[in-house]
Amino acid sequence: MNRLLPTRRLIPKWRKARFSLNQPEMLGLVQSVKSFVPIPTSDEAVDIAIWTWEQSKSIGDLADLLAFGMDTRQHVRLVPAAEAALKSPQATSAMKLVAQEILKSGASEAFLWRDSEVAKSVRGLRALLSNTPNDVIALVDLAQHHLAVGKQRAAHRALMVAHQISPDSVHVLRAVTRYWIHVGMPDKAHAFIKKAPRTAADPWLMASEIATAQITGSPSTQLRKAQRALAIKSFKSRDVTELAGAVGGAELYQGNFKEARKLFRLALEYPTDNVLAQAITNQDHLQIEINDSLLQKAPNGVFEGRALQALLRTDFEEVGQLTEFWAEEEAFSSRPRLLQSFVHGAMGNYERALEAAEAGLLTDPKDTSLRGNRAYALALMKRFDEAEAELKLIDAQGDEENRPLTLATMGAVKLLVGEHELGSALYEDALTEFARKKAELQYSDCLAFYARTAMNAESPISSELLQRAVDRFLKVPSHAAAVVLRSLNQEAKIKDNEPMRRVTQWEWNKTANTLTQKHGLTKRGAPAVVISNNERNSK
Amino acid sequence: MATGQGGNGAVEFNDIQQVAEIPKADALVGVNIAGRWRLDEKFHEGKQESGGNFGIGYTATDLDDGSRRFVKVVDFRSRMSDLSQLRQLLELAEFEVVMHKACMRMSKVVRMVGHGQLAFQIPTNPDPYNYLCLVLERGDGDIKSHVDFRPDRSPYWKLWVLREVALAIVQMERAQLAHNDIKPSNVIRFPSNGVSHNIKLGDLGRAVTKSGTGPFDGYGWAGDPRHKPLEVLYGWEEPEWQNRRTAADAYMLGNLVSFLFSGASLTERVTNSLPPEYRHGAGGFVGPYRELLDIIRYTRNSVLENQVIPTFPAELRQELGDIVRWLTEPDPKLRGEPSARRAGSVGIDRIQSRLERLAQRAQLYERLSVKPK
Repeated sequence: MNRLLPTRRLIPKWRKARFSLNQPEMLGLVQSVKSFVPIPTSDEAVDIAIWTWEQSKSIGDLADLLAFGMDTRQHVRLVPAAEAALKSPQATSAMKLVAQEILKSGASEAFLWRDSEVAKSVRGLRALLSNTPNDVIALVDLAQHHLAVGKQRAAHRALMVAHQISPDSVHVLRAVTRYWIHVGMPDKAHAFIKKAPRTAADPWLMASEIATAQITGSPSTQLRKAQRALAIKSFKSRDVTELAGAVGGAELYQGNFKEARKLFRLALEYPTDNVLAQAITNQDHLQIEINDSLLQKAPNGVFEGRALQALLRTDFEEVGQLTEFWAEEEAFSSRPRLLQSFVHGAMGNYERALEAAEAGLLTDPKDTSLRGNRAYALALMKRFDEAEAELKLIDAQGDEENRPLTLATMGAVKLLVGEHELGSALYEDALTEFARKKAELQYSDCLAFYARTAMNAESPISSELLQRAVDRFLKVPSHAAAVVLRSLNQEAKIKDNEPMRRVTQWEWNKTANTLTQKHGLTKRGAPAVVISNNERNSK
Repeated sequence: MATGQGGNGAVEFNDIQQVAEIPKADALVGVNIAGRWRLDEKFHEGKQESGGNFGIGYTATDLDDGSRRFVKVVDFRSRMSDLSQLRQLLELAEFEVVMHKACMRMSKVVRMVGHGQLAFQIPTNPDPYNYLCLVLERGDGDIKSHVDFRPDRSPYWKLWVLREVALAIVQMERAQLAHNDIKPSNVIRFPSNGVSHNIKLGDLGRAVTKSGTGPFDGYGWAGDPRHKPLEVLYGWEEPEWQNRRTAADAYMLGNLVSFLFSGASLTERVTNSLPPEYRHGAGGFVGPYRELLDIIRYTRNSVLENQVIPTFPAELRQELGDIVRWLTEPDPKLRGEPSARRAGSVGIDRIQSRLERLAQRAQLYERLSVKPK
């Protein structure tokens, strides 16, 4: 079985429009226009329209009246008209939709953005674009669809058209940056984001530049400026989420844990799923507790963050579900599929592991980790020829990193075809490799998988292996090993994490009976609620 | 009584009538204005055919030829106590008269047949109490009462209405005017001339002039928010007059296409299809419209393709779909017929020709009762 996800960086997320819509990075930094005061619909105009409809009862007057539905304040007065529209055989489907919105007080947003079938398929998007080729959102979504099936050139073409139409769009600039990173050209990504005129002024793009520079190993043009902007609070807290995370990531990379922790605290004031996932990934160093209330503060989704958190809780069932949503959100990314195929493999859902690995390989056929997961699923499904062919492909890459994993999967194949000695030898070689590399967790994982495969293969040493795996788990527990051992009816408990720091704490003033939320990093293991100092002093 | 200017122009009058008691502005039924127009019935405040938003409307009969008229009576004397209100009212009324004069020769704009003072004098007071009156052509009501959304109904009438409104916009554009309040209640049906339906655009009270002399020229927008162009909802103003004003008329024509076929205002549909944080108004989007343009465009496209264009007759769907897409383009700088846009104009004249052609085609299909393959 394969190792978990590759190193995570705070590179820009590229979600489909319906997932990005509620995310702050969709538009980037928006300066408010103060001089404009919108004029609402007048009550008198509604009176007139109601009177006119009541007199004529004509469908045209009814349609005209329903148009006031754009003002939610008027919905109460429009209820009789909405009910009449729903009953009328002459009313169009659009009128009925307006009527339903009036009665339910607004639901079209979901109809158009979330449930729309158009955005879910290349055909739908193409149809939309054939009529309105300047639809940037549809172009970016189309590019993602193309990339999800490995059509890089088509994706590139769509993105470039979108960029030409809307060169300042944060959504487009971040998508193009992510595209270059995805296709393995981070230098181009960095050059692109560095050159965009808006980058110097928009914190969401500055963050992307800093994270991209980290990947390429080149100096960031925005890092110092960003540090200064954060220090003097040039931007609102809501807009610096990713910027603080990116600068925090750079500090972490330099080993400045204390500074990184402060910056991540700032980033988590208005968290996004990207920052949350990064904070969870770096939890060992940051020691910041990411709890449910923090996850709920982020705009909808947070599939990656929640999947990673479920992984840390060893709730692989939930990881499997959340990675499905995550994969839908970022259809071109192989990361969710990698994690999904791994957890399904660990749980023994080999068909689903295979499906996930194959879906991931569509987006990134060069990903040897996904290939490893595919080979493992095939072996356990007793499709040995295909598994061996896949292993040969991985071997041909000559990547030393993959060697122990390939050995282990080959061991699984051999054990399952009945060549117990050879299979065991290969597994032992894999374990030796892990030990040599001091990959302690992977050693535990590998041993647990070995024990389970041996049991499936009815190996004579399976009981002995199971005991070894259990002993190893007690010494070095790992999440995957726990799941595998549980599938073998063993009790495998992961110890709770060490207490961590909170980013907020509630303070209760007993005298005034008030609860105030305090922002700031607490000490490790600090309680969620404390009694205020005044109260304690008075005691 | 003094009257002047006959022929094609509007009659200007100054009619002073001796009465025992000054009648109120809403109690003038039976009064003859300038010996020519008899006020028959008061309109409900809400039912002011082509009358606009101020003044009291009456149906009237032209005693010369028996034709029906619409008379708008403005009581500015009642506002004497508030000078700023009085000034505003006078300015609006005078502007409407000026605007109607400017549109006098336009066949597709409701014509003013007379205007002037109607004054009442009582024996005890030599100072007469006067009302400003506008006498306008009267049609058979607005298009709302006539429209039928059932898909099996002929599209010819709707297309002809659109063609007529497009022609009205073109006529106004040639006079360097923009209507800026095109909506179903301002599109008036008139008796047919025997060849085709006769439709005119009414209520010039919100019109603007390129010279910038009207009361609304300085404002960003006046008029019904349900039919406003999308950029106007967000307070966006294009610097160039054509992109600001003629493009707005173009949008409202597109919105009328949506209304006539789908029964829905595109402005309403787009607004309600946006998440609350992107809607205009309190608690919504506060940034510049240009920042939101991509999201607005996607929303508009989805609304058009899913809710509006499917209601067009199948045989005309592609062409009429293109027209409505051009007319409701969220970027006012790009709005209009594409080749005309490249040449620097909005191209309503070209759209009018296309609508006329579509209408004729629809009529042909109807007559032959043959659907194209």
